[in-house]
Parts: sequence; C-alpha cells; structure tokens
Amino acid sequence: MELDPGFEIPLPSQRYDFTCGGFRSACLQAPACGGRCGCILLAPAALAHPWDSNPQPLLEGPRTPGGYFVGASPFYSDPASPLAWDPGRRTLWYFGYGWLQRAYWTPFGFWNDYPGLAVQPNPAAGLLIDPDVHFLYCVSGSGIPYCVQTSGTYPATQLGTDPVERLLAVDPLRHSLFAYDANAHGVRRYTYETPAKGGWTSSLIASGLGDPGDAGVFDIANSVLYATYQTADPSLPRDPLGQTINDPSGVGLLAPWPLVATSVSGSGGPASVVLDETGVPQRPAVRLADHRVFYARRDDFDSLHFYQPAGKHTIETSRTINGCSGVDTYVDNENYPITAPQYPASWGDWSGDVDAVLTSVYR
Amino acid sequence: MAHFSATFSPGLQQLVQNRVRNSGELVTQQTAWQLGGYFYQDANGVLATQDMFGTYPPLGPSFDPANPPASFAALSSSNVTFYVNPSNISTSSSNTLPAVYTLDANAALIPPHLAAPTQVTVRTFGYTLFSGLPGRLPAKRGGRYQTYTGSDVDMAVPCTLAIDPQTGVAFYTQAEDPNAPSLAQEVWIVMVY
Repeated sequence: MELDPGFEIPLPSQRYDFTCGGFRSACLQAPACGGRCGCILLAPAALAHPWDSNPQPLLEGPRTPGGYFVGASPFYSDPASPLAWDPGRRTLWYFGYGWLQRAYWTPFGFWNDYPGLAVQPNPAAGLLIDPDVHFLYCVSGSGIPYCVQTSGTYPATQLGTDPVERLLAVDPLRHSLFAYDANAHGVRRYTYETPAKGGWTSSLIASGLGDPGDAGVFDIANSVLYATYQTADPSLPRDPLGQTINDPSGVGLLAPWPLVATSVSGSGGPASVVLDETGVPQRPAVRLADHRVFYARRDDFDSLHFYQPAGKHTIETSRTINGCSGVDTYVDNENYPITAPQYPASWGDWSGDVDAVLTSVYR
Repeated sequence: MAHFSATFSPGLQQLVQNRVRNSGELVTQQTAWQLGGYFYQDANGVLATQDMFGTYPPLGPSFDPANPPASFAALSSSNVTFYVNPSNISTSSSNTLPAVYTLDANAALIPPHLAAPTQVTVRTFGYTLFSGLPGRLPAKRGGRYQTYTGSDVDMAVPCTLAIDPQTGVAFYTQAEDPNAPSLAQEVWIVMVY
C-alpha cells in the first residue's frame, strides 16, 4: 500500500487502526472526531504548543509560575555550535566562547556550568548524545573520538586511534557511534564491548565518500545511516529514483552532495547506496514510524523531498512536498522581546519562594 | 538552497527545519582574452607606455608588431638608453597594470569561480506534516530569520537543532544579528515550546 505523501503513520508506541468512520479518508479528519473511535490524533500537548508559540531565548535562572525572573539572562552559544540534548537528564550540551558548556533543567529553571573535561572537544566535529546511557560523544582537536560519561567527574574514554573529522550519528539501540574518517574517506562505526573483549572497537563500514556536509541521522529500526557527503565514488550503487546533478561550471564548483544510505544490518546487501544527488550539504531527518527520510535539493526553495524505502506494505517512494519553506516571523536580533518561557508541565514546576530557591542553588 | 538541516519531532509530528538560502550567486568563467594595452619593456622588466622624447610614442590598436617602424630596431640594442617620465611607468598610480592582465601570451584561462551571493537568508521554523489536506493543520508560522546582504553574507551560518522527543521542545542557535556583530559573535540558544 502506497500512502499519500502527507499521510501520517503513528509512532510505534501509538495505536492507529485506520478505523475512524470506517474509512481512511474519514481518518484524515481525525482531529474533528476527537479520537473517540480509537484512531490516534496528534498529542493534545502538540496542539496546545504549536511552533508558532513565541520562540524565546533559553534563560538561566529561577522563575516563578507567574513568570517572575530572578537574575534571568539568556544563554549565549557560539553561532555554529552543535547542540546535543540529553532528554533523560534534560541537559543541553553546547559550546559557548569556545568551551563546552551544559544547560541543565531544574524544577525552577535552567542553569549552566562548564564541566571540566579531560579533553577539549572540537566544535566543528559535532556533539552527539546516546540518550539511554547518557554518553556524550565528542572529538578532540587532534581528531580522536571520545565518549564522556555525563556524571561524576565526567570520565572520558578514548574510542580509538584513527582520527575522525565529524560525528555522524548514534545508534541508541546498540550504543554505537558513527563518525566520518577523512583519511579512509568513509564511515567508521564504534561499538562497545565488554572490557574482556577489548572495550571500544571500531571498523570501517563504508568508503568512497567525500567530506560530510553535516551530521547524519540513523534509522534504528532499519539500521540505516543517512547522511550527505560532498561526493560519492562513481562505483557506489545508485537508486534509480534519484537524480544526478550537473555542475553548471563544469569544474566542480558545485558539489553533488549525494544523500547516501549506509546499511549496518549486515544483511549482505551493498553497504552504501546513493539515494539522490541533492546539491546541498545538509543534515536529513528521519521519521521512524514509516522510515521516511526528509531532505532538500538545491532548488527546493519552497519544497522538500522525502525518500521512503520499501517496506512490508509500501513500495520504495521518492516524492516532493510543496509549500513547506516556512514563514519569516521573528527577526533574530538582541532586541527580541523576552517573555516568560513556556516549559513543559511534565518537566515539573516550582511554586516556592525565591529565597528558598537561591539558597538551594547556591549552597 | 545553500544548507539544510532538519530534525523530526515525533511528539508534535513536526519537521523542524533550518534553511540557508543564497541569492545572487554568480559563476564567472573566462572564455576569451582582451588586450590590456601596449607597453615597452626594458631589460629589467620595467614597463612604460612611451619614452620621454617621443621617439617611442604610445602604441595603439593600429600598431603591428610584425611590421614595426625602422626606429624600433634600436629597442633590441643593449647599448641604447631610453628616458621615461615616471608617470609613464606601468607601476605609477595612473598606469598600473590591473592584476587580471598577464604578460604571458600563452597563459591559460583563469579557472571558473563562484562569486559570493548578494543576499543570504537563514530561517528556522517548524512545519507540521499534517498540513496540505482538508482537516489538517496549516503550515506553521513562527519562523525566526535573519537576512544578510553585501559584506555581511559572511556572517550567515547554519543554525543547529535539537529536539526533546517526548515534549517536542525544540532548541536551536539564533542567527547572528548583522547589526550587532560586536557581541563577541555569540548568539542566543532559542527554545520553542
């Protein structure tokens, strides 16, 4: 069954039996049915907090439920700083003034500090989180990848000796890390074994790839890494649904930036397949429910592309979604009006007095 | 599109995107030669447009190097001295040979190059994947943006994104303000919920 490009597949944790009104078309009107028939709707919280709520700078400091701040000020980061969010600890890792910092949630707001790591990470190589084990992955200035345990004294473990240029993605199911090895022109996978088996090991799982344009994304269900690279070796297999970009200059001024799927399932198929030539360095996104990979081509001014691999009930699909380039609403500048930030209720709230909070924080 | 970054918010069924869009980029490629001018060159490589006494006047398009005047035979003699007004030397302010010109008649063509864009726009926004069909939510407003023109285009860098998968809280780095570049090039971390 091939689904409409805009049709939604629920998350695995949700139930959606397509029985709303007995017809799939009726199910598209699910928000109106209130979900009484058993179909799954957008989470109520989602509707209550759409994107067009006023974006606010992340503020440091306690707050009261009424929005009163005590010494609250925005966190500052480096403009191109990578962001790594640890959902379990509600901690955001980033670089500010060239140093690794973290903003961590407490019931009375966000606070930040400079965890002293034994290694000084390179911001250009990225930051990644393995959420279940709270591992923070980073790369030293000399290109050596490290795993930092985000508790206690932040012990950092060197993952290997081969220098890598950029972190690509994490497999949170198997606790693996993927990184780009510039010397090997390929992707290196780091996996953890017990100390008796040697601890961290790495292997090259793909080659023939140029520099990555950004981080990638990992589909944990299909065990596929998606990322764009400046070039891909012509010998790599290519998906027939993909396009080929011609460089108008003829001398390589505009790179093809192919979107490449690298399978790590070990099923015997080709490790890497060029899905499409995008012409854009980018970080794609994947929707795990239907394995759709969202990306952009160079001429996607008002549109978006997605690729969906063949599944049990779907054929391989590649399509364009039009009219999704966003709207300029709030101009970024320092005069942006700061109002009380909206925090999810599930994060906990605080209604005590300010003095008690300050005493708690600064003791 | 110069750079694209996206992350999917499973809780909100939204695709959070950061787009960097260039306009005014130009690929320049040399396809021919243009005569830069006529110069006399002495044994030391100094170029001059004419001598001081008019024996060797400024040369123009009518000059035929294959059939020069008889007086030009002296130019090949190492015993002859020429006097040149400094203002007629090619290194003077009025006669500087532009760098795009070469004295090598067999020089290769300059490789094509990509000129910087005249405008760059950075935009971060969320897009619900339920839009576009009856009963679905419309495209989301709320995108933060910044536009750079002229020499400020170098300040445009892609923003990075992070999502809390359970609540849909989105974090991203703010685009730098070209009107306030003095803030140590630091930006805010923006949160949307």
